[in-house]
Amino acid sequence: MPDGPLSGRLEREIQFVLNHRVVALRAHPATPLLDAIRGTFGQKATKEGCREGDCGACTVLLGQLRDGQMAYRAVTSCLVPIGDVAGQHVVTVEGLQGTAQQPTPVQAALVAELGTQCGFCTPGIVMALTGFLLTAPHLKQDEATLALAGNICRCTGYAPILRAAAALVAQHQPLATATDRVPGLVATRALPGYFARIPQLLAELPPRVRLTQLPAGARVVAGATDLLVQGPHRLLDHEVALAGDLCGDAIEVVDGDLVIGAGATMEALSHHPLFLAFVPEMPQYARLIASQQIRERATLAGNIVNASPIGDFVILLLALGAHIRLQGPDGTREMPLDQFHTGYKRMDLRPREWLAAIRLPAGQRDKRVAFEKVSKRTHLDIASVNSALWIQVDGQRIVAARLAAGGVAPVPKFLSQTSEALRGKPLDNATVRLAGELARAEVTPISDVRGSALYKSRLLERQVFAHFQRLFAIEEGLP
Amino acid sequence: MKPQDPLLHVLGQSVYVDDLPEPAGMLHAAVFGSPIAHGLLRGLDVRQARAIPGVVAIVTAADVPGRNQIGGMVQDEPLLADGAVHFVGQPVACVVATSREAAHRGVAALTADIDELPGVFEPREAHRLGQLIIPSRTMARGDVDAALATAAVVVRGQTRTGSQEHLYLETQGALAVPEEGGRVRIVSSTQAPTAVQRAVAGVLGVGMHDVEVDVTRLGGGFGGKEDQATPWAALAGLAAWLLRAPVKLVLSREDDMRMTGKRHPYDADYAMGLTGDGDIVAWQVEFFQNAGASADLSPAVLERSLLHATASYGIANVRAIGHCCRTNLPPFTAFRGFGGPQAMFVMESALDHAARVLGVDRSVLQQRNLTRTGDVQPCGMPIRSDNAVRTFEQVISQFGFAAKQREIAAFNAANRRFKRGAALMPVCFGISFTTTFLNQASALVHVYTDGSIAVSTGAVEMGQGVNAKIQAAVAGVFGVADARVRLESTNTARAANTSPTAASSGADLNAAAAAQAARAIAERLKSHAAALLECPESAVALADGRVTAHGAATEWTFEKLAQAAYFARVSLSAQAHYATPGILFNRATESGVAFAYHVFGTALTEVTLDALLGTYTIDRVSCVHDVGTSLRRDIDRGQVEGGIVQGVGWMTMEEVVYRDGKLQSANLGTYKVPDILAAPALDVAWLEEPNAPSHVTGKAVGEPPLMYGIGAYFALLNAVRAAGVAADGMLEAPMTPERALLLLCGERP
Repeated sequence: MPDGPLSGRLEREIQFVLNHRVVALRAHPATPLLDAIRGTFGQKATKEGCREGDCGACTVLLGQLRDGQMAYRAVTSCLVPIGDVAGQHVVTVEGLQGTAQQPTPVQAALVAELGTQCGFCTPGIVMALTGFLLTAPHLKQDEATLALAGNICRCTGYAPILRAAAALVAQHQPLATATDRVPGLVATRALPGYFARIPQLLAELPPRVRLTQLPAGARVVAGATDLLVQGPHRLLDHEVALAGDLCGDAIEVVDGDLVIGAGATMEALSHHPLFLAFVPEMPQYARLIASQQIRERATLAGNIVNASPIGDFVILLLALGAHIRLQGPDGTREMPLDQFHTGYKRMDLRPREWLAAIRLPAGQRDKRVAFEKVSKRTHLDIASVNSALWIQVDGQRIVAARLAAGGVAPVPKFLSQTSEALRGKPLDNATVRLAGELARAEVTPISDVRGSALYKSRLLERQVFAHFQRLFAIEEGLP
Repeated sequence: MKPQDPLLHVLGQSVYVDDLPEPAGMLHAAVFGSPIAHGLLRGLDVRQARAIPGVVAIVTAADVPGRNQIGGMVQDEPLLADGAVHFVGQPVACVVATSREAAHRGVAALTADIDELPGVFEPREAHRLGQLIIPSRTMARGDVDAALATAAVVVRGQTRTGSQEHLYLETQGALAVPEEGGRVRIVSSTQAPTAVQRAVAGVLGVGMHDVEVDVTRLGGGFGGKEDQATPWAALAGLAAWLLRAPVKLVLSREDDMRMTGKRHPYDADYAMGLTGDGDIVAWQVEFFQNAGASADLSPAVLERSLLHATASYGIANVRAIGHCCRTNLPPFTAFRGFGGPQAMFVMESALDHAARVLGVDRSVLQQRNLTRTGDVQPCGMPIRSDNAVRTFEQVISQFGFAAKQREIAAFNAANRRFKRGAALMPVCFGISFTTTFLNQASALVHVYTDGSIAVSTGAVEMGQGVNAKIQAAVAGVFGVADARVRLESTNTARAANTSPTAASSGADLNAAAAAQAARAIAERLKSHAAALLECPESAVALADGRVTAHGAATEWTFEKLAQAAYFARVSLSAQAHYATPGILFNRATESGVAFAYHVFGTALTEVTLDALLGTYTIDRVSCVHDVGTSLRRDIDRGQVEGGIVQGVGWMTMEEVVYRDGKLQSANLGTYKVPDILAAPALDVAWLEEPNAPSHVTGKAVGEPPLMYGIGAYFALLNAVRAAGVAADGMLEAPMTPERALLLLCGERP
C-alpha cells in the first residue's frame, strides 16, 4: 500500500460498495483502486500486471447510479484514483461469486475452451467478458473482441478466448434487447443476486463533494490514465482535486456551438450524436485510441492538459478548431486550442486555473474530417505519428483546411502553414503532394522508441496522402 | 477432489507469489540497479535512503555471508555488483522496508558513485574485441569450402534478429521466510527450483538442505524464469536471512523489463551454395550471439543454434560457427525456442536470397530441400522421420496453398494500396536438453488410504498444462479419474536435484518418472488384490476406479484396495527416476545424438500490407503440426496457438530498443505484444501418424510452434515486394511498421 510518509494529512474518508457490501477507508484520493482492493481489502484475485493500464489483468467493473439505473463499465483498477470510486460499485472476480461447482457462464466458457493457461491475465478477462455481457449494445462477437482489446494474454494466442466469447454470445442473445440486463444476467448466474440491491446501497452513501475553487497547490486529476502511469508517488505527496468534483461531463449545444464538459470521457464523446455531427467516423477512429477500459476513464481535458505531443484526441480537436475554456479565481477565459501549448509539456495555464470545457464552433460542423494514427501495434498503443485533417471544399477546390499532427514536434502541432497553403487549391495530386512536402517542412520530429526522425517525417507525409485518399479518393503515393 | 488449474484461474483462486498470505512482520524489498552500462563502482551513498521512514536495511555485496555468485553454467555473475557494473539495471543494492512503497522510495534515494567506462553493445564489436564468454564453437560436416567453390549458385549475406521480452504476466518475485536452525524457505516464481536452491545456499554459505524452494505455479515463464528467477529469490533469501524476518521481493513491471535478460539478438553471416536446380549443396553460417554481460544460459542457447543451423533442411556440407559475445546489456537468456528461432531465421533469409537469384518462389527451394529419413544432421545425428515432408505437403493440400497464391496475385493486381503476401515456414526442432545430464527427472507418488493420490515431481506448472498431463498419466496407471490425482507444488524437499522445466521436456521427463513411480505402487496393489481375490496377478487390472479380475469388475474399489493394502503393510508410496535413453551429445567433438527425437511441422502465413502507411495485419496462420499420440490434444492446441502468436510478435511488433545500454522500451506503453485484435486467425491441424513412436504424453509441444511465426516476416516481405519494391538488402527482424514503411519508401534506415 502506498502509505507514503507525507500522505497522512492528505487522506480522506472514502466509501463505496465493494462487491456485495459497503466499505470505507481513509486514503489519499489518488491511491490506485487496485492497491485498495489487494492491500486494504486483501482481495487478491485482481492481479497487478503492469500498473499502466496496458495489460488489463486488473480489470474490474465500476458501476454508478445514473438516472435511477446502474451504469457499469470495465476499467483498469491500476489507473482509477480511489477518490473517484466514492459512491460507486466496484466488482471484482470475488464478487461474481462463482464456485467450483457453479462457475459463472463466463468462467465456465473459459474453462471449457481452455481460454486460460498460466491464469494471471484470467481474472481481467473474466471481468472484461462479464462487462461485455452487461454493457455491449448488441451482444455481438465483434463487440466482445473490442471489449477484450485492453487485455493482454501472453499464453493462449487469444483463439480459445475468442471461442469462449463466441459461446457466450450465442448463449446470451435473448438478453441483447433488454433495457436492463441485470435481471437476465442474474438469472443465468453471470451475476449474483445481490446486484439487484446495489442501487439502494449506493443511494445511501454520501454524495460527492463539489468544488467551486481549486485549492492552492492542488493538482487536478481527471481520468488519471496518464498521471497514474507516470507513478502514483508523484501525486501522493500532493493535494489533488478530482476533476469529477470540479467539472461537469455534459455534452450539449449552447448557442449553436458544441460545449463539452471537461469531465466527459473519450468513450462518451466518441459515441455522442452531437459529436458525430462533427466527426461521423468517430466510433471507428476511437478504436485506435486506447482501449475501452481506458476510454471509459480518460477525458478530453486530460488529453489536452497532459500536453503530450502525441495525444490522439487533442490532435483531432486541433484540426476541428476547438476552443478551450479555462476557469480560475479571476473568472473564465477562452482561447483557441492551437494557442494553448507553448512548449514541451508547457501551456498557458495560470495558477489555480483549470480547464473547464471545450467548445467546438458551430461552423466547424458538417465538414469532412480524417484521422490517421500509426503505431507499432494498431490498437492500445501510442502513435509514432498521428494526424487529422479538417477540410471544407467547394466542388473541386479547397475552401479551408486545418491539419494537425502529433509525434512530430514538442507540442501537439497545428500545421498552420500547410493549412493556410491549402486554401483555394484544387483537389488534385499536385496539391496533395505539396501538402505532404509542406507538412514535412513544418515539423521537427526526434528519434525515439516510437521511431526514427526519418520514419516520422515520411509517415506524416504518407498520412497526409492517406487523408486525401480517405476523403477524396486521390491516389497520391500509391505504388 | 481437486479442481484443476483452469477452474481455479477463472474463479480468481489461483495463488501466485504476490498473492500469498503475508507472514507477520514481513518486509518488502526493492532493487537498486546500476544506472550505468559499464563502470567501476566506487561507492554507494545510502544516507538519504536510510532516512526514509520505513526503510529497514540496505543490503549490498559486503553483506553476503557466503559467495556473492549466482552464475549457473559459468560462475561469472555476482548477485550484487562488487567493484564494477556491467549493465544498466545490474543489481547493486537491495532496499528492505516495511512497505513496498517505502522500499521503492528508498531505491529512488540511492546514488552510486561510478566511474564510467566505454560500453560495448553490439555482438560483432564484442567479437572484434575478443570479448567472448566461451571459446567460439564450430559444428561441421562434409566439405563446405569445396562445395561452395563448385556450386552453380552461391549467395552470401548478413541478417539480424532482435531481442524479445518474455512479458510473462506475473513479474519475477519471491517470498523468503527464515525458519528455525538457520533454514530458509523460499516461494519463488521460478522454472528452476533447484537452481534457486543451489544459488541461495551458495550465497548464504549453507547446505542445499538448509534451503527449501517451493513453487505452486508461475504466471507465465517462457524461459524467462529459468535462470533469471534466481537473483530475486536469492536477494529475498539473503535479506530474510540477514534480518531474520520474512521478505517479499516482487519486481515492478518496469524493473523486471530493465533488469532481466530477454531473447538473444543475433547477427549472422551466411553463404549458401546451390545447384542450378535449387538443391542446397553447401551451407556456412556464422552466428554472432549477443549474450549480454554474463553467461547465463547463452552457451547452451548458442549450442542449440548450431544444432539447428540447417533448420528443416537436409544439407551434406555444413559449417556452423558460433560466437558467444559479451556485451554491456542484461544477460540474455532462455526464451521459447532457445537459439533455434534465430538459426532458422538466417536459413530462411538465405533461401529468400537464393530464390531471388534463381527466380523461383522460396517455397520451391524449401520443398526441394526438406530433410528426410537418412539425412544426417551436422552433429552426426541421423534424421529418422519424413514428417518434414509430410507436414509440408499436408499444409499445401489441406490449406490450398497454390489456390491461395493465385488469389493473392489476383488481389495484388487489382489493388494499389493494399498488398497481400503469403509464406510457408517449416519447423524441425530437436527435443531434449542439449546438456545431456539435464535429461533426467524424479517423481514421488503417494496413494492415501482413501484412494486419493498425490504426486510431486520437478515439473513447474506455468500454464503449459504439464500438471494436467502428469495427472492424466498417473490416473491412467491407477485406472482412476484424473480428479483423484492431485499435483503437489514443486518443492526441493520432495523432488531433489531437478532439471529446470524447460526445453519443452517438462512433460516428457516428469510424466515418465511419475508414471514409473505410479506403476511401482500399482504393481504392489495388484499383487495384493490378486492375493485377496485368489487369482493370478496377471489377471488383475485397475480400471474405472475398480479392481477387475479376468476383465470383470470386482467388489473392490480402488479406495478399498488402498486401505486393505495399507493394513497389510504394503507401501503405498514410491519414488522413481527417469533418464531419457539413447542420447549423448559430446561437446568436445561437437557430435552425437543430441536429441531424443525431432518435432516437425509447417505453417502457412497470410498477411495484408497497407503499402501507403506501412501498416499491416497478420491475417491467418494455418499449420500442420506433429504432436504424435497425445493424452491432451486440447492442451497441445493451446501451446501451438499461443506459440504462433508469440512468434509472430517477435517477427513483427515486438521491438526491444536499447540506447547506450539503456532500455528504451521499458514498459508496456513502449513494448507492444500482440493483443486480441492483432492476433491472426489460427487453423491448427495435426499430422496423423498411425505408427508414431509412443511418448507418455505425446511429443513435446512447448517450443516448436513459436518458429511458425517466422513465416509472418517472409509473408510481409512478399507483400512489400508486391508493391514493386526490391527489398534486396540485409534482412533484419522485426518487421515493424517503421521498417516496412522505410522499405516501401526506398529509404535505408
